[in-house]
Amino acid sequence: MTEQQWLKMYRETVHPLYGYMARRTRGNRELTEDIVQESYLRALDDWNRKAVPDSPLAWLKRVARNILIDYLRQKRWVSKGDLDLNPDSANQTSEDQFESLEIFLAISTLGRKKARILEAFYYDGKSVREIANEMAISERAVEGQLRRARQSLKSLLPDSKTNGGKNE
Amino acid sequence: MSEIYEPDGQFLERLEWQLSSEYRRTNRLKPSSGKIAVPRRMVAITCMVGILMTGVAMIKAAEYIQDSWRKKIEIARAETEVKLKKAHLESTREMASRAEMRFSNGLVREEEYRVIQIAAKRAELDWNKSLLNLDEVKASGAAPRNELYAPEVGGRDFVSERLKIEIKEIELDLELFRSRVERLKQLVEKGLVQGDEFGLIQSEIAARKVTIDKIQKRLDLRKRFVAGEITAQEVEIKDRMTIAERNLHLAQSMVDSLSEQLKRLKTLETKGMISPLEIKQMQYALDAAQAELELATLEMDVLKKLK
Repeated sequence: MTEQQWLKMYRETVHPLYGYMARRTRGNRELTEDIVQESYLRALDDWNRKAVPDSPLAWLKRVARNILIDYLRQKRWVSKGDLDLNPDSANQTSEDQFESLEIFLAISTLGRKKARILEAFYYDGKSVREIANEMAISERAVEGQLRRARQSLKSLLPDSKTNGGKNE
Repeated sequence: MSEIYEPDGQFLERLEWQLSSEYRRTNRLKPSSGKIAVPRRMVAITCMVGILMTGVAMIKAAEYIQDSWRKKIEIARAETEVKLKKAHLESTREMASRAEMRFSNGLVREEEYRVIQIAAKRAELDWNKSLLNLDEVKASGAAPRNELYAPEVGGRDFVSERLKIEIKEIELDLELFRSRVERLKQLVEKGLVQGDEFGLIQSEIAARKVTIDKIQKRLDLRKRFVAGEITAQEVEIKDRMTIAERNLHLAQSMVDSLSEQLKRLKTLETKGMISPLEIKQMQYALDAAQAELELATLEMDVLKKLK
């Protein structure tokens, strides 16, 4: 991988990666920037040793998501005051952001299939039809899976935290 | 899409710069193409030291994360870098002292011995640079900045200090190339190699000198910016101009060298000594170099208009 290829890949992926992560951190700019930066540094290290993956963006998203989960897991035993919350950037209170991040962490503990469908619907703002096309299943099946995933999430969180709408 | 889901321009610019320098740093640290046989045991020991150091630094980083984690992580990252560079320096120094012994016993050639010596000097510069970065991170609480228009931190001009180290690194390359020229001269005198091999090394030496000249110009610009003689915007345009001039120079010398080689290959082809495929490959390389030259010329024109 030459430097030009590396920078070209960066320019092509940084906007979608940033958007993907910002939706999961509810617009917490500092946290999103740190995670995006760390993901590219890991990519450089990994791709130099091995090879550039077939879909760099998918690889980066997966790594960024894992970094966020690791970060939230490290913080779960401390108070929200220790989280680097930046409420102004998303017109939210620290309380809102804390809850959003808690919900994201709870979603990550659900099975891969449930987490994928909830994230696609709530964080990436995809419609039931788009998810059905991506997963090659019927819209009805998507609705059923969404309902079951929501129920699983509810059992992990107090009621008030799962009543929000789509993250748009 | 709301703008909170869009990255900020300054962040993008800074990240691109960081990734670009990280790429160059990583590739500089890659071993050369197997010219020196490093004992496997030495490699294993170096790796173990590296892993232990990384482990210690990671534990430290994990402790730091409890409070104001951004600054602490930057410091932990810089400290890890210092430890790794120090470990690398120590192992390289050990290799150099062994090489000295083997050279005095006639077990290795002078060129190999020189390569190891220079690797040790380069490792020392890398270590110095990591110490510099650590000082800057501690003083600013953020990742080191390398833009010519970056402010001084705590009264220290880290940008200039780093540029001076870069010059020393290139001077090490020059030292190596000059020793190769000496060796080649001996081989040519003995009739073991053809004289035209000098051309390649000479062009490498010329390229390094151009780079040193470019860094000197950047140092001068930085000095003027710190003294308040020019604004940040002027610094940026002038800096780009310096880089563009260098690109133009490199592209021109590449075109000249490839044209010369193509001419030589065509002569050989008429004598049936090489295949037409080799001519085609060389022609392709020349076309690419000419395209680079046109691009560099265009960039210069645009920048001159901005001036």
